[in-house]
Amino acid sequence: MRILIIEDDVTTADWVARSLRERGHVVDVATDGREGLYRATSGEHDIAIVDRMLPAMDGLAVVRALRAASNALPVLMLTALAETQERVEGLNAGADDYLAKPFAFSELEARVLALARRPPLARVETVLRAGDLEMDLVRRTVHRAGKEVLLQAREFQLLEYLLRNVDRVVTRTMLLEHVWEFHFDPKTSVVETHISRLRAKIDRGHSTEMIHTLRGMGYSLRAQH
Amino acid sequence: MRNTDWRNSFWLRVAFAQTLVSLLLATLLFIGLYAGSSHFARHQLREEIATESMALAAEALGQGRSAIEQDIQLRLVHGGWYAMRDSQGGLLAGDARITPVPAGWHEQAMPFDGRSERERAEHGLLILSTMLTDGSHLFVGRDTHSIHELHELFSRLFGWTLLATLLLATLGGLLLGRIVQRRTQALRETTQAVGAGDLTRRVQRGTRRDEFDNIEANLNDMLDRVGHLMGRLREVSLDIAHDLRTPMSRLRQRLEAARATCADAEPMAITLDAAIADLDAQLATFAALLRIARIEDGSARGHFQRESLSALTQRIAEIYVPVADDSRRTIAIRIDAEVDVLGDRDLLTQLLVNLVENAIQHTPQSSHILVALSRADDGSPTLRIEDNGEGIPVEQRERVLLPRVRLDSSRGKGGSGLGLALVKAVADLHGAVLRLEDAQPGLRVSVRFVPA
Repeated sequence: MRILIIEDDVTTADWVARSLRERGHVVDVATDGREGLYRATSGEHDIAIVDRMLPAMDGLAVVRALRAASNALPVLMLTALAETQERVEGLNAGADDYLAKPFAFSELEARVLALARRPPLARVETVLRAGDLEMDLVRRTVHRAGKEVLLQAREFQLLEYLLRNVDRVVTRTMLLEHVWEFHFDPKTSVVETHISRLRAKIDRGHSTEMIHTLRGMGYSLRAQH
Repeated sequence: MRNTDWRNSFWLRVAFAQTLVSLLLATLLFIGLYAGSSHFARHQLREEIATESMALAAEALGQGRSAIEQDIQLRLVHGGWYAMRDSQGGLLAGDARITPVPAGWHEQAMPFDGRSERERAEHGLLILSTMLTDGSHLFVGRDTHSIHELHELFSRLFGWTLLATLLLATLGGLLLGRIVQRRTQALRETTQAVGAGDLTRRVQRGTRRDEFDNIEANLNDMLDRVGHLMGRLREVSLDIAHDLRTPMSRLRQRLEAARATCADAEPMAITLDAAIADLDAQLATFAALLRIARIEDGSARGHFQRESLSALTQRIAEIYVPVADDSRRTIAIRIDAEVDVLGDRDLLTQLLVNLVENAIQHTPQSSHILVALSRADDGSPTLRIEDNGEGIPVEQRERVLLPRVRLDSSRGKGGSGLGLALVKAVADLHGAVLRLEDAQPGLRVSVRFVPA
């Protein structure tokens, strides 16, 4: 993937760029908003990581300008604080996702990958499939290897999110934000508890496990081993 | 009024003292006035008697005794007391009832016949006895009744005046007391509120520019200054928290970069993971501090929306049922439908999560937790999170609501010590009243919202 980083903090930009390059991505760095916007409109990138506070032109303005020009480049916005107001402003301006500093690289990577490969918005799926697991979004039913699995509403939501990101890493924070709408870090093991309950229902009695825990990174639902 | 013992009330003491002083003044004034007028009246009487005596004596000298005897008879008709006796004491003219006395001033009882005792007491006779050249005595007297009447008049007046003074002084004292009371009311209320922790309170200032207004102005200035200093202190702490985040973020990036170069099982990897975890805990504390500050500045009120507290509470409670279950605690849910509040969804979520997690984390195993939402009698949505654990002692209840930064997580049970402070900040933002109560046994946290 070709990734554009618009970030004025050189240390952070270097670290993110180097880490992404190590994963085999091509990375361009712009250190102010104007240069960033110029490079973002070149059409060469798959995703842009935009810091909200930038010299010359702030991150919000960059994203707004992009969207005004009907540029659909996926944008992950970085900010100093993850307060509702900042988040809503970023998303309203046209950013696709939002990450508060400081962050672990694995968190950034998972979000970048989830964004870059997001299917076009127009496609509406009614059935999600992964291996022998099938989720009917209309009937609200789940089958594994033809046998119905009874899930509670919250478990259904969790599985849906994992299925939509099949074979990708989803971090604990991504689950908290998208499944439970927690935009903060809870003190108890909410995610672990719910994942283990879901895993018991989905994987029990089957030879292949689908829900995997990736230590220090998050979780992943995989179709094949 | 709170002080029923007058000794504890400044203004009652003032009123009492004022009454005493007024009475004393009135008495002194009266004594002076009485002495003066009584002396004057007696002086007048003597003057009159002396004038009469001199006129009669001059007459006797010039025109002889028979002329004066006639004149005395004449004057007796007009009132007054006159008598003339020869050197042997024989009555020459006038009233025989006047007791003969040597020359000079004398006072005698009034020679009444058959008058009452009281009347006898009210009258007296002031006599001037003059010896004429032939050895005879001239007696001129006046009834002292007028002086007595003056006495009576004065004592009556004195009584009334004392009564009036007592009344007026008491009334004045009460009035003064009321004024002092009223003027200090604002001061009292404000200092009380400030003492209770509300540093934003100020005294409503009067417009008279008098002593009270001066005190009020000074108090306000003092509070402004204190508020300013506290604000500065807070700003500085927040600035520190904010500014430290950048170097700490960089430190985290370096640690992560170093961590990426080691394999999972290496001792270095374990050390680095621990270092990153420690750093994350501190970053989380700073984030929570900044978050509380952001909530306290109130700007979130701008985008308040009507939220279904019923749905939100139900959702959070359900999310935590399995979490509690895994840690061997139970959650019971009792939620009334269609309870709405005006608020910020994210912050309300955080409030609920913090309270439920608090109940799970600070109770012994096999405790029961109740998550309840209902409407109070006045329609205020009231959230209750109850447990039957150890509870919080009364004296610590207020303290646990204050932000306590615990950067060294080994000192506590974990967590930044900001959980309940955050809850308090969110409740305050929503105008809700947060209470920690004894659930007998256990802790009951109630949050009483404003009806939407």
